[in-house]
Amino acid sequence: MDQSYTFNVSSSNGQHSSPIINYRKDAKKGVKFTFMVVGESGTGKTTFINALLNKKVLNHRYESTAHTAGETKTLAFTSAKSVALPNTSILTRNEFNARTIHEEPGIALTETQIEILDDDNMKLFLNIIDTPGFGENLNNEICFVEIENYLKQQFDLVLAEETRIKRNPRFVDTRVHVMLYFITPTGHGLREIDIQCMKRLSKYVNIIPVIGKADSFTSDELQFFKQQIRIDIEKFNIPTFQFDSFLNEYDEEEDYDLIQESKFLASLQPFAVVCSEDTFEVSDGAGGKPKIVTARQYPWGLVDINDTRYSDFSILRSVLLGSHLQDLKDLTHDFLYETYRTERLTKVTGDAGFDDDLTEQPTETHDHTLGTRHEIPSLSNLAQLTDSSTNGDFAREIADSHSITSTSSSLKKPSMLLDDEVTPQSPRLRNVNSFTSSSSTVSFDTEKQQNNNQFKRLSIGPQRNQLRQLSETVPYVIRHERNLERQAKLEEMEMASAKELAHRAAMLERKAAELKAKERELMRQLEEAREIERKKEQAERQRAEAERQREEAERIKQAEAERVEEEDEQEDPEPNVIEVHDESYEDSQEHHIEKDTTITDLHSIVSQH
Amino acid sequence: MPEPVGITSLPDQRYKIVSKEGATFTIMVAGESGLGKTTFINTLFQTSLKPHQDPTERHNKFQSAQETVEIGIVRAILEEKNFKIRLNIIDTPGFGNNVNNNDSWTPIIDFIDDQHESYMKQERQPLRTNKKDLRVHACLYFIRPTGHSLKPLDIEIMQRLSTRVNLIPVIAKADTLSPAELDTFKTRIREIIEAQDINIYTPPLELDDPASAEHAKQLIESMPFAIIGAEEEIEISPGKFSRGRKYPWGVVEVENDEHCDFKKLRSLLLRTNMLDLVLSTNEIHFENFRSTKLGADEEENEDELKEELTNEKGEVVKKPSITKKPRRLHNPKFKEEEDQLKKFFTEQVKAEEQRFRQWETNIINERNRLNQDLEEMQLKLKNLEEQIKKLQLAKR
Repeated sequence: MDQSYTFNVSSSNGQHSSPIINYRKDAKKGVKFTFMVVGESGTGKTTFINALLNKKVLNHRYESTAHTAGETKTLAFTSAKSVALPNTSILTRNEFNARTIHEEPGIALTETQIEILDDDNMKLFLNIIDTPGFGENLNNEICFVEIENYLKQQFDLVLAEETRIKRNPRFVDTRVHVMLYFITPTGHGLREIDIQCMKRLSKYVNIIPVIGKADSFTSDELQFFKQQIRIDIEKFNIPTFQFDSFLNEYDEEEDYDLIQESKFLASLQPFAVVCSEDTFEVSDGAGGKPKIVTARQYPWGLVDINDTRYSDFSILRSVLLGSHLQDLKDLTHDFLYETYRTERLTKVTGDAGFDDDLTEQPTETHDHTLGTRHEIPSLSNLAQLTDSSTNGDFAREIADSHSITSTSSSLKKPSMLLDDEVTPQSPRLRNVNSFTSSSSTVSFDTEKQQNNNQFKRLSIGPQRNQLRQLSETVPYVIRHERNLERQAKLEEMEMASAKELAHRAAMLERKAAELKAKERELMRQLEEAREIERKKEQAERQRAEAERQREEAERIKQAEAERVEEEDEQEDPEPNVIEVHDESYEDSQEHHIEKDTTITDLHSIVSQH
Repeated sequence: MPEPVGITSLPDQRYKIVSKEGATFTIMVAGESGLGKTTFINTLFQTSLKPHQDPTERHNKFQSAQETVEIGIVRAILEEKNFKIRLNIIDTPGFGNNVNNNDSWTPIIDFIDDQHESYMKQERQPLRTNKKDLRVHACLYFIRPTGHSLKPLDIEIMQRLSTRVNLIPVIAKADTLSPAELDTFKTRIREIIEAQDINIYTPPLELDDPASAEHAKQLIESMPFAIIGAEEEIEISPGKFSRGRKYPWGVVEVENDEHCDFKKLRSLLLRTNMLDLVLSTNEIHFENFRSTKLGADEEENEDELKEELTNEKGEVVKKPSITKKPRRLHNPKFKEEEDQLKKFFTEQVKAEEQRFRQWETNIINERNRLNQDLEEMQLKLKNLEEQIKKLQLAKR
């Protein structure tokens, strides 16, 4: 490594000695530091990281998997269409494909762990989180949501671990200490996406805005752009990391250097960086020995990224990995996390405070059925008890309990031991009551001095109780909430895929309907053909019928003619009668037959008669 | 040798007419903000045609941080050696500035279509000498110099633009890419343009003129043009001034072919291919628009005719022609709303149906219960009657 980290001397010599002790202590086992780079693609995030660590850590976009120093794994992925899987996404495969480039990439969060060794043998475990796909979608709302969720989740994990009775010794703190937000070098100012993103995420992480690719500005333009960004930051109230926010804590004379430095850094903000991975040999103008610089080569000149005249890269590097590393970590833990924690716990305890049925029987809160929803009311009961007694002091009470849990992890152990002794339920109840009264004494300070001592002694128990409650409850509540969230997300995805399925099903159905219609059409045609055939047959039959009728008619005519002849011939009436009778009989029979055929035929027969 | 008739003087006559009339040329610059569109325009014509956006104004209107895409038109008359050109420059500030950029291209596309339509209408008028022509002859799409590839938003709008105007993609602020990076970037963009069916403008190859053909070839090869804009003149060497950007590490000259493709682009836009741009707009894009539009109109007319025929028996009432349909019925914003309303409606209906079903089952249950009761009663009645009979029998 040819570049050593220039730790700022002024900060190490400063008044605040605790970081130094920390620093020494950490030097042995190494310092963990997590940072995140967020910004639109093509603002030089990857190059920045590679230049920062002076080796190839991340692959560039569409760069086939070249050898990198660290291992990159995907932490989270959300696709814009919510159906695609992470392993099919462009972001994770990192291949250039002109055919699918029009698809929205979604957003992924990738983590790269890398260990670097400093000059004074200090190990630095860096955890770099990259956000490929940010700002590339048509609708970039999902990007913030995804990052916000990730940051929240890390806080939740720590919170859960902190409040647990038995802690995991191998627990890894994955909170993100600082986020570098790369501003697209537009020259105009911040855009909506920048403002929204920084505003939303500033609750969970220190944000240092950085102007990427600052070599697109001339000096004047850069000054103007920085000015515009500062105005925007102020105007939209974006809480970015302030280097001069703690100035009034320091003594003006003793920390003169520090103050000056902070002021200098504050005046530089937002940092403008020019990054490169390529090194060039430059012979110093005066004919000195050639120097190796990391620079960008253009036909019109060489941009040395460490030249502080136009690039704040080296300053940002020393801030990030040196002078302000501990500051950033502390601020994350003491301020951001603490605020989050307060809010979170207040919400957890306040949420279920409406459950009146359960507060009627405080005894029930003591049987611990772990991991169930039952836990929430149990916590709220205590809160409500305190609430009912101290009214306005509820919030303060909660805050108190927080400070205890957070500041004294050592206090927790004895409390557990004590709790084990107090097994029967009635004393506990009494304790609770005394606790409430004690808190009222504390808040109003009207009780006598002698009682106070007693109360104080007594009040320890229930507070421990409360602590225990918290420690047992909070992790589960948090986990439960997270599960719920995850479930919601899954449900959403399921719904989306169900929709798609339904859509496909509808398409298939439509096709089936079309086919059916076709079939019906064919059937109809077939039927028609049959109909025609049948008609033909009928016509045939009718003709045959008509012929038969004609024959019949002829026969009848003949018969009649015969009868007339016979009538003429006959003289003897008797046999004649019989014969006539016979004939009429025959006639009627014929009649019957004719009746079966048609009425018109009958008519004709009658008329023939 | 007889005196020539004088046909050869036609080009000269033409030249006189054209130089007297001047020409109209309309350029549209599209692309995300902060890519140097305004600067480029000012560089191209070497004057401050278009003022830069006023930052204070931006802060004033920047209340909600959400911007809408606007269309800004700058008109100017340029004169060079007594030849006048009426220039229209169309800017699209605000494009791609929002978090949600869905449909942010609609105003731009609509603007182009509107110009075609209004020109077509003017053509149909009986008096059509004073035509107002704002049809876009060339559209420069500015690509952010990311060095990666195009974003989905770029592709969406380029696909739409390429069917309507002469699209010329340019890589903006090319001075942030080193030659090697620029090369890969260009290759990728060309691949995408080919794979995504984006028809960019290509200068015609005139085979009978080897010099111009060579030039055109060069132009085609250097697409998409990498450009740099600069409004100030910088002294490069003592006594020599040129437009360029002065960085601490060197001066980027705009008119240096090794630094950027600005000269090529200018040649394409103004020197060699301006006429082709104008003509191809008229012949290809306007004709396309016209034929599809008229085709659609004809169908409408046919429908009207049919209606008239059906009315023939009564009185021939020609309906007031509603050819001017409310345009943009397909406005996506409305569509979203409509979808939401529909969804809401179906949900309501479902809920109601559910309620009714519940009600129905309740009623059925109730009826069954009553029926049962009735049967029971009847049974009881029967029993009682039998008892009465028995008792009566016993009495006797």
